[in-house]
Amino acid sequence: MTTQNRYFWDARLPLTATFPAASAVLAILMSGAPAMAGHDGDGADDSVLSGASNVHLSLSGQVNRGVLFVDDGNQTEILHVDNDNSSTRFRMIGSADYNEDISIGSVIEVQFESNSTANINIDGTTTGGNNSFTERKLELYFDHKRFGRLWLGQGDTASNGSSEVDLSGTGVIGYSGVTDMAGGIEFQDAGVAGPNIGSVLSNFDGLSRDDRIRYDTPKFGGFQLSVSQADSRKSDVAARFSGDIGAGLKVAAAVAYAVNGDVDSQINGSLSVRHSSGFNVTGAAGVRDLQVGAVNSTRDPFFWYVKVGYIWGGGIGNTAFAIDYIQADEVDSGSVEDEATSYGAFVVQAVDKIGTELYLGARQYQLDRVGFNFDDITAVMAGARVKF
Amino acid sequence: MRNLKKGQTLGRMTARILAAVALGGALAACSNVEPFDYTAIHEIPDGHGLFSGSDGEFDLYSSD
Repeated sequence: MTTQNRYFWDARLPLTATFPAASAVLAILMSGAPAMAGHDGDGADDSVLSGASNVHLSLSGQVNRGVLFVDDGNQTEILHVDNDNSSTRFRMIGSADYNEDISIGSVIEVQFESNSTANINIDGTTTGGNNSFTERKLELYFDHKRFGRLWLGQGDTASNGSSEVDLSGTGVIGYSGVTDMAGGIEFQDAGVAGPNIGSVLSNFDGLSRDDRIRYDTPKFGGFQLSVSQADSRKSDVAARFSGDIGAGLKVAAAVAYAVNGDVDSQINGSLSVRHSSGFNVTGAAGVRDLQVGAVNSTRDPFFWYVKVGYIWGGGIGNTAFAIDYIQADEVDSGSVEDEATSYGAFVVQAVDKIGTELYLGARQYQLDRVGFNFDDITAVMAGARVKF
Repeated sequence: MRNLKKGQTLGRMTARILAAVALGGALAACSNVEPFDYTAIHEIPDGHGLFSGSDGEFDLYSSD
């Protein structure tokens, strides 16, 4: 290996002393390295080396922790949580150029959520068992500058994120995925627990992440088409746009069509527009067509969502404010005439110099179900996301 | 009656989304759109990192 290569090992920051997890990761990497030396006092060069050229390997991650106050009408509780809007995780991204047009890459991204806001209930126990590493992305890709990118492995399906396009700057605490804030909290009817928030509200965000094969076209004027096929005959197609269209307007949008199990078809999308003044508006909507034979297949699940916000730029970083509202009907298979709603207010303060966002948000959740009188649920969360 | 209203609402919503995307397409075709890379809500954000600095990531190895 030539001496012009740059090595993480030569950095002044002792990362391995700061992050034990990083040490483990790097130890694994080093075990497979073609050559290795080190600054271990023996005078030899201790760098991780590769026999290949035009390659790049990086490590990044974040910690996102908060304090969640919940009131389900029957009791109140303070919970210490991992914010599932954007969970605590780390990732490694590698890429190598085959020639001028073709590159190959890999992504390994895992999360570790202790008390995930999506699963924790008011007693402080999690239903999802997320107090361990869980997969997010374990994938590789082949990229051609003119023909697009082919993905293989566990990762985003084509439609994932298509209901969640959001330029408000408040997504870390509030967006169309309203169940990420307190999804495990159960509605109460005279002290008797009913369904939890996560089972009655949804933003129909495509097919999430899965083991799949996916193809993305190159971007044309900000447009991109994607298609993927996952296990269990799940398949989807999506179109995306992100561009500055002039007049100070930045626009991002997505629309998707998916087929999945009991869902004959699902159409969903989202659109977000931000003006250079800081004002922004975001909307999303989706509808599912259930298969005959699905549980309560006469249901007609749908949702719609709207958010209005303002971003003030200056000082230590952007300050973003937003309010939102969502309605989702007949999502839970246990009932045929549910109407669930939620509204919220959020503020996020970015501190650019230290890669940190401080946030505060509040949500009210409501569920109307025939034959029940569920109390509203209030959730308030404050916390910080630190990108390391 | 309720389902009829819901169906109508759904139709309108879906139509609006598709119209918005179509409008975006028209704008892209008719104007000088400057594409940008959108980072999804769930993803690690772009920009500065507390320890990694302005790169936002640790460069474990690069042959550049």
